[in-house]
Amino acid sequence: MHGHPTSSGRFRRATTLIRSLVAYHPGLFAISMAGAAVFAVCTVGSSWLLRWIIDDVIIPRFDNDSFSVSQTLIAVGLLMGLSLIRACGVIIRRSFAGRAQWRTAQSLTDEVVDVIVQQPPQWHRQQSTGDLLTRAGVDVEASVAVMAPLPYASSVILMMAIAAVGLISSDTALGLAATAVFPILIGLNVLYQRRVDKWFDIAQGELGVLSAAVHESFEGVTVVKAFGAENRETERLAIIASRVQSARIAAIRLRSLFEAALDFVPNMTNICLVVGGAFRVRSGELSVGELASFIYMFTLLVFPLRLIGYALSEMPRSQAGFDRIQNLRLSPVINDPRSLFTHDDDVLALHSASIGYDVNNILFENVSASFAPQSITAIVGYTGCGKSTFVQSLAGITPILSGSISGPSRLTSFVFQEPFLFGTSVRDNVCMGREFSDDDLRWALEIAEADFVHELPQGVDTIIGERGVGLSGGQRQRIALARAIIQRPKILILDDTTSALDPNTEVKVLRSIKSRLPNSTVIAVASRPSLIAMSDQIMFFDQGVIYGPATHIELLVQNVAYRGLMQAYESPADPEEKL
Amino acid sequence: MTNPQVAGAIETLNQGVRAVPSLRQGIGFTLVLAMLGASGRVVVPVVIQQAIDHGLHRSIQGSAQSVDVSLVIKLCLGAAIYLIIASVAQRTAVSRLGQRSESALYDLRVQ
Repeated sequence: MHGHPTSSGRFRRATTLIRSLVAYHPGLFAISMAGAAVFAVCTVGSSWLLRWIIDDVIIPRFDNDSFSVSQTLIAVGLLMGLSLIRACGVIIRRSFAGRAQWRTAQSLTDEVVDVIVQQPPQWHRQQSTGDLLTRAGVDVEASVAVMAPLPYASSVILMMAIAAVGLISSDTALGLAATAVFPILIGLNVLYQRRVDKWFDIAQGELGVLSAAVHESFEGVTVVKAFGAENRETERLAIIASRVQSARIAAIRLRSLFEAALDFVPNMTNICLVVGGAFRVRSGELSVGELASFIYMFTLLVFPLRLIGYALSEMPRSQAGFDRIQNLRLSPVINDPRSLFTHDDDVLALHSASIGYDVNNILFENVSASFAPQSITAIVGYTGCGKSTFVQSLAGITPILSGSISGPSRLTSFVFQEPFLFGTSVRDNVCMGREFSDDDLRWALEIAEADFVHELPQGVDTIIGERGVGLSGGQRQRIALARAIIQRPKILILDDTTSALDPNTEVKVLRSIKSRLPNSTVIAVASRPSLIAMSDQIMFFDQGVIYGPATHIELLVQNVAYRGLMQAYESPADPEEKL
Repeated sequence: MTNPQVAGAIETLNQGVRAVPSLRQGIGFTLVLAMLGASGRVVVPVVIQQAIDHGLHRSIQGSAQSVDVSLVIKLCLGAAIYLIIASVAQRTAVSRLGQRSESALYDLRVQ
């Protein structure tokens, strides 16, 4: 969160915000401003017309008992004409300001989504989904909130300028007294914004945190329910929600004071003008018509003056939302690790690569290995030895820390340990928006042993729900596998993908992949002997060292730790011993 | 015939109150304060009209010296006092309404 700016800094931020927002749809905004200008000129014009009507049409009627039909008709016509033009100005101003506001919101949302989409997976892992959603939704809405009243606020400034000239030229003393209200209101605004800024910043930030926490809570609802942690989650969310509440209440208190002052100052000025005007009329320096016109003009300004204050009162919230969006938009797009791959030949190879989470957490250093085309390589090792990080680096999901990776330019398909299914049909989940024939779909589902989908109520068009609700872990894994297979990838990487399948189904799937995807190089994290037995070569990971690629027999002979792991696979520890 | 828009708005309010009954707490007093605050906006035009009709009307008939300034001052003084009370009421009403809404939102979020 940024530090709180000075008055000049605040003004600069406000003008930057407005300039940035207007730049999205300047045409719409300009039309709205033109409508606002028409409204302003007509409003001031109506007070001059009122003075003319009182002094030249109404008072002569009392003084001379004369009645001019033509003058009355002209007065009525002018009043109606002016009102009509003013109404047109209002319609243009409002409709185009609304359009400008919502189209700007749309453009901003598109930009935020573009930035999110451009970033590689490693960036997404560091973000909270709920917070990103808040930036694309609540923050965008807050940012543009200040836009709709802007044309009106501008028309008020124009009106103030014209009216100030009119008021001062009508009666210098009263005019100066009336125009003194403008700097008072500006001062009030500055004071209000200075005090309220931090509360809106805190509230917007905490809303993002709350959104992230709620999202996380919904994501982990099964864990929460399974462990009976509902109260703990409720308390956690309540603490964050109370921080949002406290910040917003602090802002509301200030706003209520500001709004009351916005009403009070112009109204009190108006009362003072009546008193001052009475003295001026008594001394004969002002006619009743002039005073009425004067008061009317000021009264016309009172409501807009209040509204300009309300418009400006939106500024801190808009500023807070816009700042959060800017932070996201201006964050550098991280290079997609895949863009750094070289594509010299069809062999996937690591060249002196360091693999790990970051420079302080390197798992494997100076790794060089190649994966022969059309081979199956099993990645084997104890839990937590870095198998997933290794295969994710090969797929370009996690960047390597040094060295390089070369491989075929054609697609690499990766199947995660945790399969994610979208809340849509099986077909959409497998095809992922690309055009594939029914035969291709059937072929991929067959290889993945996912034929069960044909027995679902609408077959491949059955909606399977977010995260595949209603499907078993093994079924979800097989649909996710079909998604990778249908791409006919040159490199197919499986991160313990078949772990939820029973051993018979796992063997069937692996055999199908081997026989029906003969051109694919398969790299699979393996935790079962069946997969290891089918592999052409094995890489064994142990305590930061990678052994191989070698055959199963070679590793059994040469590596004690590997032999121990294989024995553990074949005869797991006695359950009673574990206890 | 029932205006569907009005019915919709009322229904929405009712739904809000049903979901968070605490919204109802102190709403009567808040409404009284809000009405008092709103009446402050009416008092100025009324005073202006009264001042012109009763304080300045004689000048219309050519007797500029007979403007009743004391009446205008009395009217404006009364209006000023009323305006102060109305402003305090308005400020309190907005603050109470905002705090109640935020508390209701908090309850909803936690629920």
